[in-house]
Amino acid sequence: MNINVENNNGLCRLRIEDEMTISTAAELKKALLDSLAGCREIEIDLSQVNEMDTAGFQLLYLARREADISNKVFRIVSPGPKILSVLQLYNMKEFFDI
Amino acid sequence: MSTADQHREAYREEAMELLAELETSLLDLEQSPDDMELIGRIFRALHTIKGSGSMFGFEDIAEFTHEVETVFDIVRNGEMHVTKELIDLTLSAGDHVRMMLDAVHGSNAADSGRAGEIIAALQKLSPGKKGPHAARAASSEEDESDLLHEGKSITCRIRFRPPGDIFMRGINPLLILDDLRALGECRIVAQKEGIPALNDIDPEYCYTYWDAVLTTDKGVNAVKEIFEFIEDGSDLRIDIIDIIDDRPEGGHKKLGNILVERGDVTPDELQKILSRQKRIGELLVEADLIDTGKVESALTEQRHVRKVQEKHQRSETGSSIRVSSDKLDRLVNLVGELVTVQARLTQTCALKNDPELLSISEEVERLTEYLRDNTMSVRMVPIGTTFNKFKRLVRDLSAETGKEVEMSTEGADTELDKTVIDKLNDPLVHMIRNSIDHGIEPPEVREAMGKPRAGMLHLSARHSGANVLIEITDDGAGLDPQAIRARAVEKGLTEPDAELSEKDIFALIFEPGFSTARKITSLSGRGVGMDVVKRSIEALRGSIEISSQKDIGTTVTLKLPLTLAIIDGLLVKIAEEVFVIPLSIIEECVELSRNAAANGNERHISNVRGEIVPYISLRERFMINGRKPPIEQIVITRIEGRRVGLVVDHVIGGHQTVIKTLGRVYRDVEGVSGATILGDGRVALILDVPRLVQNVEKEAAFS
Repeated sequence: MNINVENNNGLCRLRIEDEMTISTAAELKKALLDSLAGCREIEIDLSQVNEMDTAGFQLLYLARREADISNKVFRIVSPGPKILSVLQLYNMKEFFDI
Repeated sequence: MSTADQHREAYREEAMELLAELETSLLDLEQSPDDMELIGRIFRALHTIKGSGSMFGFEDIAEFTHEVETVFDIVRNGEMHVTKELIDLTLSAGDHVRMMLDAVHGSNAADSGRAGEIIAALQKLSPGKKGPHAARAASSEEDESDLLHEGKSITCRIRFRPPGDIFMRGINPLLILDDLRALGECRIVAQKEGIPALNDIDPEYCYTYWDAVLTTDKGVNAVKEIFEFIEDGSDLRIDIIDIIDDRPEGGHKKLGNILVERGDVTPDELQKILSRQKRIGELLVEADLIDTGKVESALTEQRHVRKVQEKHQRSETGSSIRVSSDKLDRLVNLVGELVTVQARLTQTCALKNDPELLSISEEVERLTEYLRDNTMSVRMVPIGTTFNKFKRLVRDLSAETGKEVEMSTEGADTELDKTVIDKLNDPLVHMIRNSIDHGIEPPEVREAMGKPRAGMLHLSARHSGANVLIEITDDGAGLDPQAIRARAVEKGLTEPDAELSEKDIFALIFEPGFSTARKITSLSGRGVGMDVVKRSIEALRGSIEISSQKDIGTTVTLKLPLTLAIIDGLLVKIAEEVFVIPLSIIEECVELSRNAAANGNERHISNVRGEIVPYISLRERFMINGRKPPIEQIVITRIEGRRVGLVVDHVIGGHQTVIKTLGRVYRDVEGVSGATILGDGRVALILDVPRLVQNVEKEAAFS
């Protein structure tokens, strides 16, 4: 996995590449925590993610919940079909405003 | 027929259908031996044959089927693999049951020795550690409970909380949920309330759990199996909820509805008040009794149940009943009579010229037409069942000839009159045999020619106007026009110097006594084939055509009418005689003036917009006396791709023609395929145009 973080005036853009699975969960958690701490608005670009399991889903869910609690704007950008099918299965598309 | 007999007859019919299903499933299973669904279907078919068999007093069938079922039980439990032997044996077991059923019906008694052989062979195949009866005893209890649910839909509520370290065990819960979804209609809610704050989370720990509602006809055991290997440490609850009897409609009325009905409040007022009221879910969450995830899950269950109930109701209304074909035939006959009487009514009304009567008669005409179309559509059955039967035939034939053949079908849902389908069976069997025996080459030969080892045999059916086209295509050796021609000359069917197009040459195959295969096999090649095929297709008022390319393959096309009982015809008149020409073959009508006829020099050729069309004078053909009118009519028809005209005095108009077969005495009259009764009670003959044209051609060739 590769995470590309771009912080611009309180708007934080994360572009995650490859997979969001159990094998990258620890790394992903850190990246999400760090980004959330230092921004007002967070945008997660999922266009390059080709796999997501439940561990990845949990983190994505948490990031959103955390952002809501601290009144930060949270956006998911261009999720691929794999991601969409997981969100569909968990009945979570509305939660992420997709 | 006594009631018991009726029941036995009903059982026979049901068993025959189950046997057909069994055969189809077995052949599919041969292609995909690991398909558990197919194995289940086979098992259920056997189980039903056995169960209803003993219920209706067919003990021998029940006993025999039980042994076969036992073997499939072992297969179903995964203790035995599907092999070719197993399929072969089960197929012959199916044949044997069919024979036993026929024996009951009065034909030859089934050979009980054969039953013993099949069972002994089956038992040899099954693993030795368990005799069939032991296996039965061991699994019978679970079996029954399983069967109770199998085939019948159940709805389960499933809560699945995997152990926290499930990710570390290398298990992906997503895949498990996917399996669950494959079982039937399923709604899943992921419960995430247990997930701590991001800061405190162990990212490799599973905090999520799931609620699912599933409606499946695979039985509760299938659901349990999915969770089997992660059951340790998981918190799993599967409850079956009975949704079918749980209809809210039957319950009491809501207070609001009663008040609205009494006029105490208006619906608007009620709506306003209700919108102020919080939903029960919201109230519970506010009171901190449950979390929103649980509410969401319960709502999902509610939605799911509602949807399944809707579906259930729809399927209840879409049920069908079984009617004997005799009754249908009687109905069709009655409709035929009605159509005849209606024609009389129309004619009488036209003479009376009473507007009120005319409007009634028009109404009756319209209704009769609807009734006719509806009745005919009841007799329509899809050709798919016939196609499925051929799968077995192809399998057996390819085994017999040592050739590899893959059969594919298309348009199995094309519908045809039941009588047509029944009579189509033998000709189709013959042509499939021809394709495999003469057409498709042995695998080695095919390989040497750069073709795939397995030959292709494609059956297709589709509608084309008032006809159905059935095609049998193979990618075999194709027809050799030279060989056919040489053979035909040898047999004296044609002259050595006759000028023949490729189409003419292929048509020779249908001549009686023709056969090119040097070797006579049990399949075909006895020279009694294709002429019989052609005759039976023509008896159905259809036509047959062959196109072929050497080394590429052959296509035989059958063109059949949709129905045999009533057709749209064109009434024509010669002197005082009235004839019917089937409308489906007519292309146009043109005039033939006396001058034009004279210009043709008695050669019976007319010029239609520059095109030369030969014609037959029906007056001459049927030797009808009287004077020709100054202007005759030519009805131009299309026969086997060519245009041929029929000369008549007058064209009267369209006519719904109820076909009556001619009596025995007239059966061999050529050029006439039947008769119909006209509105004024007179009889009109229906012309068999293809036959008429053939005869004229033959006579011309010999004169």
